[in-house]
Formats: sequence, C-alpha cells, structure tokens
Amino acid sequence: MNLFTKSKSEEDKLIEGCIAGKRDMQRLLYDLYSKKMMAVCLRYAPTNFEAEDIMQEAFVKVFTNLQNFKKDCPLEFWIRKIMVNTALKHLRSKQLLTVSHEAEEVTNLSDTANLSEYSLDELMSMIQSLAPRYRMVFNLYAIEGYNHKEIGEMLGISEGTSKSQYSRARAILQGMLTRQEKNYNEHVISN
Amino acid sequence: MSSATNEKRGHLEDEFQRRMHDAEASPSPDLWARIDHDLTIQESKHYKGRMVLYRQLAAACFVLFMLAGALLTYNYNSKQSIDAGIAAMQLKTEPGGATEDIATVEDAPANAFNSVSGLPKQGQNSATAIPEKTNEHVVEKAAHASESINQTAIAGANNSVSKSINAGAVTNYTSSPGVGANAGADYSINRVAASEPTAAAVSLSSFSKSDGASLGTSSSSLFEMGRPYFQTARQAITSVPAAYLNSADQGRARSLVELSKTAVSDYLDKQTKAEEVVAITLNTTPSESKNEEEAAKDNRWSVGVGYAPSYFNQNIQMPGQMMGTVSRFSLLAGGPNKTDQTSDNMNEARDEFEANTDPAFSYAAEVKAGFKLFKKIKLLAGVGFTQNTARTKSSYIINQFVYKPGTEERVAMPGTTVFLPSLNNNFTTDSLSVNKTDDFTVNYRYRHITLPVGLQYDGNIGKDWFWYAAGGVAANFLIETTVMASTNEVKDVSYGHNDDSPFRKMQFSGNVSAGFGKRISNLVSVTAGPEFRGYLNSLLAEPDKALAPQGNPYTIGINMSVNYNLGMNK
Repeated sequence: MNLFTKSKSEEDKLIEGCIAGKRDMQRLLYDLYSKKMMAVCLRYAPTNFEAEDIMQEAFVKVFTNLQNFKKDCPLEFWIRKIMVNTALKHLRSKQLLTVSHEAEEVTNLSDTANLSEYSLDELMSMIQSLAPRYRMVFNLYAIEGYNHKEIGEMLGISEGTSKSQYSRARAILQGMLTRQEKNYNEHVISN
Repeated sequence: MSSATNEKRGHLEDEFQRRMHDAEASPSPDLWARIDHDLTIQESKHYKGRMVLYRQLAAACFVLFMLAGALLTYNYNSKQSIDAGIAAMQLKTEPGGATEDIATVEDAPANAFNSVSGLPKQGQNSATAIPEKTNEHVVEKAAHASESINQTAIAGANNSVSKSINAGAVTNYTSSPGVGANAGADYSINRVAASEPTAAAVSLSSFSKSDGASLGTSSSSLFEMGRPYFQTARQAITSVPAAYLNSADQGRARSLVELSKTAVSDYLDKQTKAEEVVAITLNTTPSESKNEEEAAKDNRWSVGVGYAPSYFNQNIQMPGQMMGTVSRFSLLAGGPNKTDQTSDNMNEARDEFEANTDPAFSYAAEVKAGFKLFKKIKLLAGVGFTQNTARTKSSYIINQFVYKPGTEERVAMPGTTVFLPSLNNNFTTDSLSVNKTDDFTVNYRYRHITLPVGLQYDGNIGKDWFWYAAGGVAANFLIETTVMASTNEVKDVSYGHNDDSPFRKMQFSGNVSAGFGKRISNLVSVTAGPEFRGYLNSLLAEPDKALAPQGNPYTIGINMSVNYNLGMNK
C-alpha cells in the first residue's frame, strides 16, 4: 500500500494525527511505511537486528519531528532520508566504517548483469556482505541516486574517494554475481 | 572504467535500483511495541518539560496574586493601621497606662455602683464620703491617665442610676474642671431631692481637664476613648427616670442638658487636643498632619510609562572549528580529505560571524503601576514589550541540498548563514556547501512580552529633584524570532510564538537601574538613568544540543519614564 494512492487530504489528516500524538495514527503511518523502510535499513545494516535498531530510532525521529515536514517533497522520501541518516549515524557510532582490502582482490568486470535471476534475499545478502564503507557508497549511489559529489559531502570525504570506493564496491558485487553465475552453470551442467 | 567514474549509471546500477529501491521486508512483530515505548518516554520528557514551564508560570502568578492581595489589604487598612500604630506607640511610652485605663473602665460600674448604693444607708453625710471614696479610687487608678478617671465616673454613673433607683434621693455628681490627673478629680456634689421619694437617680459625671503633659502621654488613648465617653453621657441622660424629667424643676432638666452639652463640647475639645498631640508627635501642624494623612492615602498609587533604548548582546558564539564539528559526524573524521573549499569557507564564515556581529537598535517599552509601600519605597508591576536586535555583516552563504532518489533531482534547501546551522543539527540535509558572495547584513530580532515586577527607592535631592534606584525581575514570553538578510539568496526565517523553534519560549530576566528624576508638578515626574537587564537563561531552549556555545544575553540601556501620581491635587 502506498500513500501516493491516497488522497492528499487523507495524508494530511494522517500527518496531523501523528503530530497530535495520536497513537493509532502513528501506528497507521508505521504500517504504511515499515516494510519499505525495513528494506532500506537492511541495505545499510550488516544484520537484521541492527536494521531493526536503526528503524526503531528512525521512526521515533519521524514522529517527534513530523511537524518540521514542510511538504515540499513526498512524505516517503522524507522518511527514507531519516532512515538513511540514522543508519549513517548508527554505523559511525559502531565504528563499522573501516577501510576494507577486498577491493584489492577484484578488477573491473563487464557491465552486463541480469539480476532478474536472483531473489531479493540473495541481492540483499550480496550488499550486506560488502564492507560497511563500500556498502554505504554503493547504496547511496546505485540505489538512492546520489552523485559522488554529494556523497562526498554527506560522508565527509572527497568526491574522488567516493568514486574510488564505489568502483571497488561495484567490482566486488560483479565478482559475486559472476561467481554465482559460474557456480549455477556448473551445477546445471553437472546435473 | 566504471560508470561511477564517468558519472554515468550503467546497467548494473539500474538493475540494482529497480530491484532494491522499492523492495520490502517485514520487520519483527514487536518492533512497533519498542517504538511505542520510546515514544511514550519521549512524551513523558516533553510533558515534564512543559510541567516545569507551567510550574514556573503558576509560581509567578501566585507571587503576583499574593502581592496584589497584600497591597489591597494594606491599602484598605492603612488608616486603621496608622491609628493602631500610633496607639501602640503611645502605649509603649506610657507603661501600663492604657491597660489600666481599660481595666478601670471595666471595673468602674461596679465601683461606682458600690459607692452610690451606699448612699441611703449613709444619708446626707454619706454624700461627701462617696466622692471621696470615688476620688480615692480614681486617684489610685488614674496615676498615669487622668481621663480614665472620667471614664470610670461616667460609666459608673450610668450603672448607678439604674441600680440606686430606690435610694430615695437623686444624687447628681457634677465635676468642676480639675487641674489634672495628679491633682485628682475635684468633685462637687449636688444632691437633689427626688419628686418621688422612692425613686432616686444618681448621675455622676466627672470631667476634668488634663494638663498638657497628661495629654501628651495619652492623647491617642483619649482620642479612641472619646466615643464611649460620649455615648455614656447620652446614656446617662436617657437613663434618667421620666418622673424626674417631668418634674417642674427646670433647673434639673437644664442641668442634664448642660451636662450633655458639656460632654459633647468636652469630647470635641479632647479630640482637637488629641490631634494636636499627634501633630506635635509627628512634628507638624495639625492641619499639615491631616493633609499628609489624606495625601498618603490618596498618593499611594501611580502609573508610569517607560522607554529604554539599549545595547543587546545575544551572547551566541560560534564553535571553535565549525567544519571540524561537522566532520565529527562524518565518515572521515580526522581524515586527510576534510580540508576542502567548503571547510575553509565554513571556518572563514565562523570567524566572520565572531568578528562582525554587533548590537543593533533595541528597546523596551513598559507600562507600570506603582504602589508606595513606604514613604520612599514603591512596588512596581506592569506589562511591557521588548525588541532586542543584533546584526552580522556577512559574505558567506550556506547552501544545503537533498536529492530525490532515483531521479537525481537535486533539491536545494533555502540558503542560510552560519548562524542557524550552528543552533541545531539538520539531520535531513544530505550535503552543504559554503560560498563567498558580496557583503550583506543579517539581522536577528527577538520580540518578547514582559511581565515585570520590582521595587524602586526614591531619595530627595532638592525640592524638585530626586534620585532613584530600582531592581526587579520579569517573565519574558517570546512572541517572535526573526533572522532577516539583506540579500535574496538567504531566506528570511521567522518563528512565531506557536512555531517549533530552537529558541526558548519563556525566560526570566533581572534588571537593575538607577538615575535621577524631576518633579514637573505634584502629578507628573520624569526619570532617566542607565539600566542593566540580564536574562537568566540562554536564548536557545536546549543550549546543550547546539553546536555553538550559548551564553546568557543581556542589555544595557537608558531607561526613561514618565510617572503620574494618582489622587493628588494639582
């Protein structure tokens, strides 16, 4: 269910109810966005438990700061931004954003990939297996849609560093996909 | 080369975004319960914060209410308090006098009755014995106050008339003016034969004029005792049997009329003398004393209008390293890439704010009611309005951005300066950049409604000139905060009273001032002098959460006021 399918007035009523502290309205908002936001948190967090911690903290921020929502962007986008920033803060506090050496093991591979053959859980596992910093840059660039200049400003790194880290993350994922495909083909041939 | 390096999205990115952007995953069922618990805790904290505010408001209202009630009570009871105070003062200067006077008045009926009731038994000769006995009693009791003797005699007479109705003779005790308490009362006794032998009325009154010394020590008591004195004389007249009044002896009736006239005139005379003594005590003439008493009663209230242009220091500083503080939340804290152009500009903007923030024209306007607690101390309370302003000459603009997912649409937040971001953390901002532009001015304006209460002490310098010193506290309610820039690139920000703003909604302040005043007339006076007003809290509601260190703001200005005394003659 998506709020975009709901009328504007209903969304306004929902927001007003949440600002007024009505718990049933807050629960409704949570039910509307919890699944999507859980997927967002899972992409940034290494485990399900930490993803739920991030989501819990982020939703509390959503409800306590909803009066600051200016309606100049979709509510889902605003909530997603809070999820992402909370995830960044969470990972910083956990000291998880350390440089990995995985990038040394891979090289640029072809840009051909067909992800339709992979389940969502498989794709999520691939992303979660990335080192935290690579995972962060990959999520921000490939999925959230930021460019490297903005990612650099967000994370306090240079644009070049962001590009470099993304390149390594991308190569790691391509390597995973290639290995998975190779294993799959070998399995099919052996059978 | 990857697509990332070329700033172009490749097939892999599109595939991941298509599959992952709108992906869904189910959280654990108990997650909402945890969020609900956290929200409850947050609301509890918020509720406690509001309760603190309400408690402060309730305390302020209670204090104001009690002050107003005390003032009203004091005002309505002022005359009685003055009289009681003077009486108490006289009691202290006359040890045991008044107490004994009262005791004498209470004991007098019995004494007089006893003495008069003995008349029939003692016959004619007893008439002389009675006043002597009474005189002894009076002299004994009136060692300190001669008027108590009179009270004793008069009160006793009233009682004696009713009690000695069967005495067979009417004994009228009238006194000739005595020489004073020390000399005792000089009684002349007129024994009048009753027209009805079985009825007798004894009217005893003794009026002795006291000397000045005696009045000087018991004048207030006399003043207060005048009323029962007069009433007793009237009762004495009405208590006379009708048979006696109907008798043909006009001389006896005239004697009673004269008696009452004497009582009235003597009462008035004593009242005048009492006023004279009060006037002597206060070192004024009787007429002046009366005028001052009326003036003190009428002149207690005043109203005033004040205006105070001032210098305002908002006392908001910048963090030591603005960009360093931002980087504290970044991934590369302390890393080699943090000193880029934005970082340099941010630090320059911070330095510029520190160096170029100056006070601007600020003012306070108040309407106050004054109530004189004492001759020179006045309680002031009222309502006012303050507008405090500061100004920064700046040349740096901070732009913040957010990006819509999937579309790469860059949404720019309204431009701002280094001031507002230093007050809080915009966790929804994706990025920021600091750019240098032409010089522009940023004004910070804080408007408060104030409820001041304080004390003012006045001291005379000359006939028309006086000095004053005042101090007090005020509750200040923030009604508007505005940050205005002279360039269109920076958006003006305004917070109303009900808006969610980082600034404190209500704060207390203390103020002290001193200066000189001039009485233009009996009604109007003007004052002027320096005033310091210090706020007891910082401007921010949660200064601990702000990047910038917060101090308590203050103002220094000149207070000018016009006061109008109520109830005085021109």
